[in-house]
Amino acid sequence: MNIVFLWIAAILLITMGPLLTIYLIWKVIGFRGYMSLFQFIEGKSFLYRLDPRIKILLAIIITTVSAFTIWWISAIFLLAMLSLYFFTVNPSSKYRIVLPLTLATFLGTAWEEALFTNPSLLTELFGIDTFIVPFPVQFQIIGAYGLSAQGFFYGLQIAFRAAAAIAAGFLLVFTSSPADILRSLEKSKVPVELGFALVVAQIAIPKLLESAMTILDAMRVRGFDFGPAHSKDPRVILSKFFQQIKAVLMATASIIIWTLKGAQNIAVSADLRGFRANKTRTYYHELYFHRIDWISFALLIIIFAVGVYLSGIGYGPLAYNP
Amino acid sequence: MARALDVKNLSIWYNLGGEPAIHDINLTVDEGEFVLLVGRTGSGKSTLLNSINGVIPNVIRAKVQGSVKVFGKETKITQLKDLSTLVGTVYQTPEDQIFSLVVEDDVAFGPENLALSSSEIKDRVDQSIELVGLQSKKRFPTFLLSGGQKQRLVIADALAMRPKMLILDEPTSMLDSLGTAEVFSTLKKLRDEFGMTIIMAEHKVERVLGLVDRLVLINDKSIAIDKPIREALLDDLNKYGIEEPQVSYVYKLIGGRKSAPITVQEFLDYEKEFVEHFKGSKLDVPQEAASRGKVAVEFDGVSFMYERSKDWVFKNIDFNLYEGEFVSLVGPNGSGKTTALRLISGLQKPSKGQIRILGRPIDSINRRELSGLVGYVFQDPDQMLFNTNVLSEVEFTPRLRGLNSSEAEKKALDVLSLFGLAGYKSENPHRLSVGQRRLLSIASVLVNEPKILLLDEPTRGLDWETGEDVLNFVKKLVKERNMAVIAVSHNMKQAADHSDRVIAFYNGGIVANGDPRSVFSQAEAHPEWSLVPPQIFQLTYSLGMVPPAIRISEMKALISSYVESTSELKRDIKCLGQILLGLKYC
Repeated sequence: MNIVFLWIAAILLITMGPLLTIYLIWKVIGFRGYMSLFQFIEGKSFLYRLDPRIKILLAIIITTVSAFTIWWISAIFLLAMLSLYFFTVNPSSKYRIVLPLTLATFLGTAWEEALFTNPSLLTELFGIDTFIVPFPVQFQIIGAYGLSAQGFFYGLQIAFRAAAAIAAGFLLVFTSSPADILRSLEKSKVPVELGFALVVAQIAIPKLLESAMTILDAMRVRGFDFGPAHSKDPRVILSKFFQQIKAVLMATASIIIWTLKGAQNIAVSADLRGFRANKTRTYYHELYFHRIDWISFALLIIIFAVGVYLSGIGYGPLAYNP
Repeated sequence: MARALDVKNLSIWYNLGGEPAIHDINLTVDEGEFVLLVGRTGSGKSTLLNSINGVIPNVIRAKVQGSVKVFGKETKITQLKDLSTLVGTVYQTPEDQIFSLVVEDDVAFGPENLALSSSEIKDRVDQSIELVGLQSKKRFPTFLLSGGQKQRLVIADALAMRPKMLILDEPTSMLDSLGTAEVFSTLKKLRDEFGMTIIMAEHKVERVLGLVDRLVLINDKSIAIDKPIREALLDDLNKYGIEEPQVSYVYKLIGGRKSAPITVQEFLDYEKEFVEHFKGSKLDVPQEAASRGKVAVEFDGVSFMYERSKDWVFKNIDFNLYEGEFVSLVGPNGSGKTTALRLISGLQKPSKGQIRILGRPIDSINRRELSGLVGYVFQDPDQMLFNTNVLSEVEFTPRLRGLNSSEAEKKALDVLSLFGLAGYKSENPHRLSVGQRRLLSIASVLVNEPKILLLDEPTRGLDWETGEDVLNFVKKLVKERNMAVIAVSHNMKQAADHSDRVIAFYNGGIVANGDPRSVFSQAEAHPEWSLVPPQIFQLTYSLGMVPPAIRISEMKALISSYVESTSELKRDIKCLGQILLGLKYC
């Protein structure tokens, strides 16, 4: 094949995955949807009554069992996790956020695995690895060998694991208040500073995104055009591309300054409310395991044990070869 | 009464060898007192407050000379955790002080840190939430609270630490009129019912005077005035850049020297003679010029709804803005004022209807051309500044428009000189003072010489004097360049003083559109619009003057003749008395 064609194909294939992922996240979810991802709204279903520690354990078990079992078990987990969102407050709005995010994770992972998996591993798994589009050797420096049917198939199988783990993780964020997550992290012996940082980050991300959008708007109203170049001249396209990169870097610097100012204010306010005043904290709502938590805990242990068993009888992480 | 605060010979330096941030401050506050701290932006109010709560020097490192004692405890040597149970603090931006997504969880954060028992935490949470009147919002998501409710939550957060004293640093600078009223009524309750000691820095002097006992004015880093409130108002506060209540100012104009009134009702009660004199009288107001410039902006049946939202921000609104005109958009938060600016700037597109800029449909104008026609200054100047120095900040737009470096630099320097910022051209924009940053954000937009200027709360966070400077500057430019200006404002006094026209937004539509006098007259019958007209309007409106005054300047001639006539009358009476007593012939 023509080397120029291969170079162009390689660059397009490598960049298409991340760009498709970003496109899905921003276009389908939208800015407001992305912000609402971090805004907990209280509900009454069993998911909200579950102790956050169980939900953390759920994410861990799903991720672990997916890692050492065959792909269709991850697919079952993914379906099960997605069906649980039906029990959240306003499930359609949650699906509108979770489905594109899961899909983006799925496509991103599949794409990455398809292009970046070592051919020797694919040959070992599938017996043969024939490239549809082999990449020029220079791309091997970054671990990209080319696109093969086996690679693509392998990528899809791995993608189920990542997607199931992501779906389980967002279930925790949607159905537990940050305060409860903080309490459960502390109860799990995570240092209080780390837990607080995670919770503040969860609250700060929407503000940060809003600020980023405002700064980009400020650039727009001062004449900066983030739209396409409206020209076929590669020099104009390239110049526009670099202008946009420069604008994003300038905006990033401004966002960092804004964030640091906010961070200092948050730190002062936390200190003024006695943060780290004592070695231990007490809790407004003490977290206790209820019956539903013990039942869920038992179920999770069973899932883990079944996973170990299935892995042992031949349904391990080996790729399925049709 | 016990001593709550004792500050002796306090000086604080942030930079060793540099100028002190405050110098030789002496201040005492007794338990139960409510002290208002005023002064220009950067005068040292925040530094003083941060030395009282112990943030200086415990968190913010600074050289401290002198002493600060809070209920007998020296703040320099007391741990912040111990001080946090003596002094509660509320800062400007509520979002930086809220750490939880649910109201009650946020209030519980402090008591949890103090390792109190869960029953004690519950008591404190319930009481604090009740004190600020947020009982119905106990399980409410914090991000859905209004600005006023968020600041009340921050007060509840502070109260949950059971402090004996509350300090507040411009707590309403980010709030609209309604939010401000909510916060002030909460403070009034704390003071009246619980005798809480309160020290508050605030620019909205007129609205807070009814609550406070004492006024402490910091000027040039030291205390210039420390008097009971009504005595302090007899001084010339304008000289120190502080906005005086208009009724106190009128009281002084008519020769009042005893105890300045604070509210319109007090003035009406004290000055019976004035009331009788002006009741139903006529006010000569210069006629507004009938001719208008060309239409600069036209809203033709415009409706707007955000993507994925089901609620209209506004529906089917029409209004025009003319060249050479200064229009204020007023109304409660969320009524669509900022959205209207975003539509004119092209950042949003109308869901229905048409917007025309200088006669052309807005969607036929490309981004670069539109930015040359419409300049938009955001609420927060910091979000408009993204360059590494002042010069490149102002050069940014001319360069985008294709000017070469020397042309862009010349243009930028001209504008910087106009704004008095040329001396700062190499400074990082974020190192400038808040007033300078505001001016720089306007300069960076005006360098494009737009025909239409949009200002979103241009005086927010500025002291009165700096705010007036900014607005006077803009008005001068409007005249010189025949620009059309729309400013979103929550300050009705500024709207009255500077606008040719006021447009009131409420409940998804425009409810009033006309000169400030007519809009304020209509607002009298509609408290739900949350427009609080300037005191001079309220005073003359209640006196039945035709038409009511909207600016002090409109009343000055009448007041002068009134003062003359009353002093003549007083002289005549005095003279008559002397004649009758046979003491002297006048």
